[in-house]
Amino acid sequence: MQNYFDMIVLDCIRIINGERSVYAILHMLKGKKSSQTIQDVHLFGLTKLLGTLPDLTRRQLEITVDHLLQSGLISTLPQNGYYMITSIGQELLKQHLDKYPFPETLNGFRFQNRTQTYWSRLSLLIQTISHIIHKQNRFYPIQRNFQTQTWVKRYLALNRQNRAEIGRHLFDELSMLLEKRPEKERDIFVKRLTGIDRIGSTYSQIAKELDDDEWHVRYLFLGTIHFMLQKMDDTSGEYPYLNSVGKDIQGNSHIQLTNSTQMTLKYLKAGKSLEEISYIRKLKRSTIEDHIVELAYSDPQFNISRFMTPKIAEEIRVASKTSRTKQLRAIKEIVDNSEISYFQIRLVLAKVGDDS
Amino acid sequence: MNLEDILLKQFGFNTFRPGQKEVIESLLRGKDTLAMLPTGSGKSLCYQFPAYVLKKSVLIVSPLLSLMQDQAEQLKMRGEKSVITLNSFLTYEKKREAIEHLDSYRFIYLSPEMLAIPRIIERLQKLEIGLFVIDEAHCISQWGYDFRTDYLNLGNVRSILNNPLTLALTATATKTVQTDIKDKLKLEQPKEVITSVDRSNIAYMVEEFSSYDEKLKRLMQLVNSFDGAAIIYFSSKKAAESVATFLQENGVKNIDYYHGGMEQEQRMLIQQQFLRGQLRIICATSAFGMGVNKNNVRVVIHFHLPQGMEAYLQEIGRAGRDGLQSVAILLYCDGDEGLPLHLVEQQLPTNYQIEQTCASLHEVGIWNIEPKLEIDLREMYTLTDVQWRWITHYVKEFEQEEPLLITEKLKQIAQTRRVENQTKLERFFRWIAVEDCRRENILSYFDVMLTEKNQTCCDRCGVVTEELLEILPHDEQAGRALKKTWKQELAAILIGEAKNIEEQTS
Repeated sequence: MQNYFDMIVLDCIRIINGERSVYAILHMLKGKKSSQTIQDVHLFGLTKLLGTLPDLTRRQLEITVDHLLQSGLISTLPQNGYYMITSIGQELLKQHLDKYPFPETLNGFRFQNRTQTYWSRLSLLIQTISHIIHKQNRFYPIQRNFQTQTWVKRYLALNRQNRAEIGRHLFDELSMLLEKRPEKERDIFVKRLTGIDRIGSTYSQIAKELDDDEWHVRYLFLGTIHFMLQKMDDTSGEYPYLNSVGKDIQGNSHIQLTNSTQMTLKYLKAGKSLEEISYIRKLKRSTIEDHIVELAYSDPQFNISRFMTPKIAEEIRVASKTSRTKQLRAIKEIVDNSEISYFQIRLVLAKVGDDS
Repeated sequence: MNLEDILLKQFGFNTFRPGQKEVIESLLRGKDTLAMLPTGSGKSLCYQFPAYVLKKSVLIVSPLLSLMQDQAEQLKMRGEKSVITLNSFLTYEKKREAIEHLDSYRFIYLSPEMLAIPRIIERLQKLEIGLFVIDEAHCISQWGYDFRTDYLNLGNVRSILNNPLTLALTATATKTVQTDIKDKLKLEQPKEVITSVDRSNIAYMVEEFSSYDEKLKRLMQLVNSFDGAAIIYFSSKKAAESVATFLQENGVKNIDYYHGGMEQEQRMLIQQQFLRGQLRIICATSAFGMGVNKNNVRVVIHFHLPQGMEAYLQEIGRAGRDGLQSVAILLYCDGDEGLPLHLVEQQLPTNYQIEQTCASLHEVGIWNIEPKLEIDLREMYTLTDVQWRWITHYVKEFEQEEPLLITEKLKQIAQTRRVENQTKLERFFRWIAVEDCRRENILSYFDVMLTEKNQTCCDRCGVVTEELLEILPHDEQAGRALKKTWKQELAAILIGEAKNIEEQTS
């Protein structure tokens, strides 16, 4: 393995275990907004990685997969051309994961839609405050995004107190949060900041300074941001300044649905049946089924009992335990009950959750 | 108030640079103007200045998003708040809002594709336009080195907007291109301010090598022989990256790479580190430089050949904007011609790409292309952004013709363009081999005579690289070192009184 990214891909291939093509990995890492991808990350327990590499390209992934294949870390399945991890791969992966575990705070599923906006705002706010308190009112903004710039301007217009005071509070809150993180994460976070007389470092510059891998630095940094966002959600009162940077960002809710799924949810709530929704929305039944499965994954409270009897649900649950696979076909063969549909199996799997 | 007073009050300069005053005076007399001023000579002042006298909106069309944003940021840095950039990256909501209040902005930057949107044109028609500026106007000419199909529409836009006072700006345009700009923009007898493309404070050096390794060795020697800022140009992202890494590993400090394949935020960091002097040397592709307003770049090195004379002048023009002695060094190795030849070949779609894409476009109809289809087609026939716009532009232009004829026409145009591009490159190759003064040779390409002999001219006139590097002005590299601990650094950024914090954190 050449780098941390190779390791991530290898880990995904191990977990997916030949049940999806590598493009499912691409969609997951990029955070594709589709029912299929959201189901996949839950099914395979990869929620932490969802949307953690939004700029990943197809080609980057293909190069890595080729490389893994040539090094004998993965092999091709004859029946569908999908990939499986080899025993050498297993071993190497374990070594790497022991050495470089994912930050335990990483949670792409929950934070992917907020991460970028939060960091853009925070970094530009810090740059701005840093310059104002040093009496330099002109500088090149490190964030070019128009919305981000507008946000900072509005923030400063709405919060009229002394700028030094804002700086002091940001310092206190950031220190408090960073104290709870490992040394390396703190260093990376602070090096990324742009302030007076110093432009922040890039991932690759930090990696060189710390003699680490660029991709690993990136994930450690994401771990820090996700940790901060988590704290904002849980104990926002303790960090009023940091919380005010992100509280209005859309996607704050734990439940992030694709637009079409939201529409289906509206009809479900209005008491419409699957068939009716399919008819009203002029969509195939299978599409509506996808939406419902997505709902089952996203919302722990979502009740699947309207789609099957408790007995059927139990049968599927038992079968999925015995088969120890996520492959629908294998489960269907075990339940051996023509009354039970794939749709029902998917719903139950959604409810069994990541811990299976 | 005379012009100099305004210059001092609004811009903080005491004197105009060559050409600026002439352009401004011509515009203030209400004359359409075509201005060719060398890169780094303060072109943007030519349209920023009149805005404060005309007291009406100035519309600026600019080809590159990043360039547009850089210029807008620079204006804002100067304290000018009334600036808007309209491009496809704004959200629908923001765009609507901006368009509604368009008359409240003094400077309106637009990408050319914005001017193809009826809603925007309608709004602009109601606006009192003080000045219509076409930046990088050579993009309108297919003989220019950076032809952009969406620039061709600008002549029409100008008529629709009732022929507002117009300024066409360029740094590099041959006589043919100048004529073409006037034609396409329908400028009738404009005032022409053509200053020499010559940048007398930049010395032109070419060095030849017989192998890649030798060239690399020489590069390392070069970057260690001066202490000022430098840009090293490469023609591929990979080369920029790997040579930067090679130099880093060999002990060169404050050097990094920059190319279009990097994420926006990382690119911005590198660019600003360079501007601040935190980085001394950038290994870059041609994506770097446009709009990077750094005055004290002392050296521009080409590790690979550029895509022609105009591109070369544009790139080396980033050196010595402060007017102090600077140098452009081209490192040439036998066989280097292959790479740029291959690259210009690739810019245009192949016959196969044209045939297949035209067939698909014909099936759905050129005006019914959904974004999804564009993505699919581009992926299927591996079309770059430029190739895609090139094909769709001509298909629209020949809309009335038979489908098969359209395909043939496109293939012909592509072929002609390929030959022209090659000719341009060959002209540059000849410059490398030229035995007389390099400066004179460049000027002759632009039909300009060298009026004054330059003291520090070029290798052919007897300049020796080592001697020159030694006398280059020195520069303090700025940039504050990181504090000892993360907490002290955080305090330095957000509080600033280092003393208090050291007590607290010790």
